[in-house]
Amino acid sequence: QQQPAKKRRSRWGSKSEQVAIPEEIDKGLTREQRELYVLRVRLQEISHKLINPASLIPVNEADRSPSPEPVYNAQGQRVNTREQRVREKLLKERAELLERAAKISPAFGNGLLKAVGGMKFEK
Amino acid sequence: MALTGAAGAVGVLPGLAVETPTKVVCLAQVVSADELTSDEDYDEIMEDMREECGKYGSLVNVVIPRPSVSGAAVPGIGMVFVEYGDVSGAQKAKAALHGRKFGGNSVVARYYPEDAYARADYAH
Repeated sequence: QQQPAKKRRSRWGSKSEQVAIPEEIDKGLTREQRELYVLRVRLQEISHKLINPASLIPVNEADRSPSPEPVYNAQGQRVNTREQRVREKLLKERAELLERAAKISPAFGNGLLKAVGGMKFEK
Repeated sequence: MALTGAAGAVGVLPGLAVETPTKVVCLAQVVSADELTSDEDYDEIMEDMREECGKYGSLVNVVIPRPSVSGAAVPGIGMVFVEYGDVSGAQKAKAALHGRKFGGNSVVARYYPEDAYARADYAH
């Protein structure tokens, strides 16, 4: 039975998932402080997500993106499962955010770097 | 007044500064540069923004800066600028969208200076 053009799911989360973020963002911050603040909110969120990346996989298969061809390592284990891809995407974004934070404020960026386990990123 | 959260943490006393609402709401850290390079994702993000932001007032324009093809740094990447016909639309939108999730990210909303927006200056 053909469904008439399935409505794409919006990226907006429901109102019930709305989180409380302090409003001070509007008041008296310099551009750099504001940027660091936003970076920090996002980094905290990523750390939280990394605790259980599997929970980010949509339950409904129709909402999942198409999978790439499986890739296996020398031991024959798959290395690009959906969970691994979610995890890698988060780690990549985290590295980018840390790099940006370090560019704006080396002290603040290095502090964040230490907080996530002294991870090094090289390009 | 309690000095908690962002401003407290970065050592700024926010007490005396007064927030001035404008007609433009800036949503920060909602999308990644990766997503913006794909035309399909960009179109979907734009559609989602128009649909949701249209609920709060008369929407004049939605601007989503995209990464340049040359790889040069573009200000405002990851942010979405939503312009309303009046301040009350922007106020409602900011209240409703601050802290909402978009693609799993928590949206940080603030008023954006109208003069900077008018000059297409997204680095303010």
